[in-house]
Parts: sequence; C-alpha cells; structure tokens
Amino acid sequence: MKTKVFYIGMITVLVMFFLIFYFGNFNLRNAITGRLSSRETNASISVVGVSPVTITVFNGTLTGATVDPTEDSNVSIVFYAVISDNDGAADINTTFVRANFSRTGEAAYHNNSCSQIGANLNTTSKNFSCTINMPYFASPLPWNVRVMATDLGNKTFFYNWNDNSTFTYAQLQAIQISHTALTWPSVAPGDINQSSNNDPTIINNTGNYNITNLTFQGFNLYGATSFINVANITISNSTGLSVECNPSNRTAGGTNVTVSLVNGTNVQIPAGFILRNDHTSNNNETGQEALYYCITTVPSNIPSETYSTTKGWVIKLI
Amino acid sequence: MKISQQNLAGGQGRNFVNMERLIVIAILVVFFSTVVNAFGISSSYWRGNPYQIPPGETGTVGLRLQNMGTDEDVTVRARLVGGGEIANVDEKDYLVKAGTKDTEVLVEIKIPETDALGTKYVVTVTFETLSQTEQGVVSVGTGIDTSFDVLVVEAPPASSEIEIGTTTWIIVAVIIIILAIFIIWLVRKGKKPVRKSERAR
Repeated sequence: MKTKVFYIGMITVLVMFFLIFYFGNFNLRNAITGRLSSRETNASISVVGVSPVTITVFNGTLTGATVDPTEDSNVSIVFYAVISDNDGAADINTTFVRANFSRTGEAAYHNNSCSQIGANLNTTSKNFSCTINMPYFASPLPWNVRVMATDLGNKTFFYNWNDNSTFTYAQLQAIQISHTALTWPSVAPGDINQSSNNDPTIINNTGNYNITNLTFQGFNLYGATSFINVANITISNSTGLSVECNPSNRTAGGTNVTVSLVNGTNVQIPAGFILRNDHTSNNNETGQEALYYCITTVPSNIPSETYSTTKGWVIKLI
Repeated sequence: MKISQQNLAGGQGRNFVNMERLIVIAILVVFFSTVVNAFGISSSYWRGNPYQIPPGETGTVGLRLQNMGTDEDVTVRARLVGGGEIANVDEKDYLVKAGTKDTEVLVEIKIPETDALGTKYVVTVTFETLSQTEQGVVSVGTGIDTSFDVLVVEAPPASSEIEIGTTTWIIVAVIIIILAIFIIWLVRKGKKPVRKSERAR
C-alpha cells in the first residue's frame, strides 16, 4: 500500500513538471523568480580558436546612456570591459587592451592602454577600465563602443564588433564672445563711414551644434534729449576698403556682406554660420566668426552728453 | 557712448564749423561691459532626434545650462517661444555658476489623449544672458534658441514581470485539483475502520 502511495505521488509530481514546462512556456517559472523584466544586456562574443578571448563591454552608466559634452573642453568618459579567457586569466595580455568610440563619417577617439582594475574577477576573467576623452565638437547621436583584447597564447586580436554597446553624445549649443572695448579713431559730428579701429568681435562655436543662423540685436542709444539711431551702425564679417561700412556690398552670389542694425530686431549676421569644429586655430573661419563694425553716419545735430541703452545688445544663436 | 561738440571762441560762420570739425575730437568709445561672454545648453533631444511620448501622457525634458568658459557666474532668462500647446517651462532667471554644467531647466510636455500617432510638435525655448546696463556702456549679451521635436508614439507594451497568462492559470488549477484529489484519498484511506480481528491483536 505504501509503495502504491509512493508511486502515485511521484507520478503526480512528474505530471506537474511536465505541464509547467510544456504548456507554461516558462511563464510561471519567470513569475515566481522575481526576475526583472528588463536588465542590462551584456554583449559578448567569443573567438573560436585554441585560446578564445571573450570581451564584455559593461558599464550601466554608459551603455545606452547620454553623455553631455563640456563647453569648449573635453569630457572624460569612463567605462569598463571584462576580458575572459577559458585558458585562465593569466593568459590575458593585460598590456594590450584598447578601446575606441567610433561613428560612421566621424574620426574615432581612442585609448590604447586600458588598465586592469583590482585583482582577477575569477579564474578566467579580468576587469579593465578605459577612459576616452571626447571633445566638445564631436558629433551628437550614438557612438559605438569598441574594445580590442588579446591573449598571450594565440595572439588573437579581436574587437567586440557584434554587440550593441553604444552611448549617445548629447547636443550642446554654445557660443563664446570675446571682446574688451570697441573704439573708433577721432571722429566728428557729421562724419561718415568710420570703421572701428580695434575690432573684430570673435565668436567661437564652443559646442557640437552646427550654427547656421547667428543674429545681432541692437537698440538705439538714448541721451537725455536725443538719441542715436542704431541703424547708423553696420556689421560685417569682412573688412578692408571699408567694406563693413557699405550695406549694399554683396558677394558674387548675392549674399549680404554688410548689414545695418535695426532697433530691437534680430538682424542676421552676414554669413552667420559656424560649423562645429576646433576653433583653436583662430583663423576667423574654423569654428569661429569675426565681426567688424562701422558707424556710417555720426549725427551732426546731437548735443554733447552720454548716450546709452537700457537693453543690452544680443548676439544670438538660432 | 559719449558725443562731444565744442563751441570754440573767436570763430564765425563757415570757418567756425570747419575748425570745429577738425579740432573737436570726439572719441567714440563703446565699452562692452564683459571681456568674455559665454554659456551653453545641452539637450538629449533636438530637431531630428525627437522626444517620444504616447497620447495622453505627461513627460519632462531637461535642458542643462553650462557656464564652463568664464570665471564669472551668469544669469540666464528662459522663455517658451514655441510649442506652447503642449509644453510648459518655468519662465524665470536661472543663475548658472561659473564652472558648472548641471543647472537644469525642465520643460514639461503634455500630449492630448486625442492626438494621432505620428503627430509632431516643435518646442522652442529661448535663453538670454542678463547684462548689467550702466551709463556710457553698451553691454553685449549672448542668446540661444533651443528647439527639439516631440513625436507622438504608441505606448509601449505593459511589463510582463509578474504577469501570469491564462495558460499558466489553467496549469496551476490542474495541479491543485490533482493534489486535492490525492490528499483527499490519503485522508479517507487513513480513516478506514479497523477490523475486529485486527483490534483483538
């Protein structure tokens, strides 16, 4: 009788397991394990060979994350990679772990000497830290994270080409305007076409946004009893032969070279586009724009007094 | 900016005017009040890289102000100038301390429930530095218009972390029934009366 009971019980248990794994499609097992519905995905790939090397790029704060550029500077991006070798951790070449950030159409950024962190993770794995500096002008959008490692055995060099380790470099709109004081040579009331003698204003693109529209907003200058119309001031991205004083100057293609300011209005700066780039060449072109100024007419009938504005002038990126 | 006109003693008529123009020196100086003016705005979303949100949902986009290019704090005024039908921002002055890149301006996005999938909006926030104005000085500030797309998308499927499907419930019910039958059988078997002959022993 006891044997009969034992066999019935065993059959019952076996039937239960059969039903769970055949019809349940692991749903019940998943429901009671407390496993999260989403988790970080570690991509790995193995080299098939005598001594395979496995590379796992892992950093929960980088993969799939967004990193902000730093205005006019580099940002150091740290991430980690686990290198595994079935022949043992000692077979991993610790002096040859390299990494890069790459993106189609963009120059890659490298670290040729990632360093091991701490002791071995286990008998077959080591953890490495890689730091890559990204400049402020690097393209926004996703960048691929690639790691190369090798072992001491078969000298296999390998990148983790097939995983989806990426991060997003955010967009940064930033400009830097450099100026101390703008002066003119000796002028008298009624004079015309007087260029500043210590311009230009330098505008640097210090982000990774391609600036295609820069504007200048000026306001009239007011004294106690009179005012100076800001339309008497022109700006230009060129100089020489008083080109900055002639609003009718245009390029061969008909583009304005010089424009007059308009009170309280955003006037487009001539050729006001500054593509993202390293501006430190300081050639007034690469990642940079220069502005020249002219007073086309010095009013002849205004009294002697101080003229100023209650609203600051604005150079604006649109 | 200061303009001067001087009346010189002893000159009359046209000669007076000519002398005035030759001699009078009006040095026109426009002082820009700052040596360097700079700030930046970083965003995880922009034109061509939209913020995606389902109909009827509310979300937040953070715009992060930077002041890494100067040694002085800068105050930036924020105003919403586009996308007001779905967006809202606290329009006020934000102090961005020198050497920082984490001053956040939050843009709240709220999509109507009736919006069709694929509807696209453009949200624009304008930022301008506040410049000190004083007599004789024309200050030049910096402004940036930041725009990003908002795209109405389908809501993601509900999480299946603790979801138990119909099939699983059936399996559990079958197992419980089988166990119940087995237990009842055991209990009834245990209550069977003992024979007199077995008692005598």
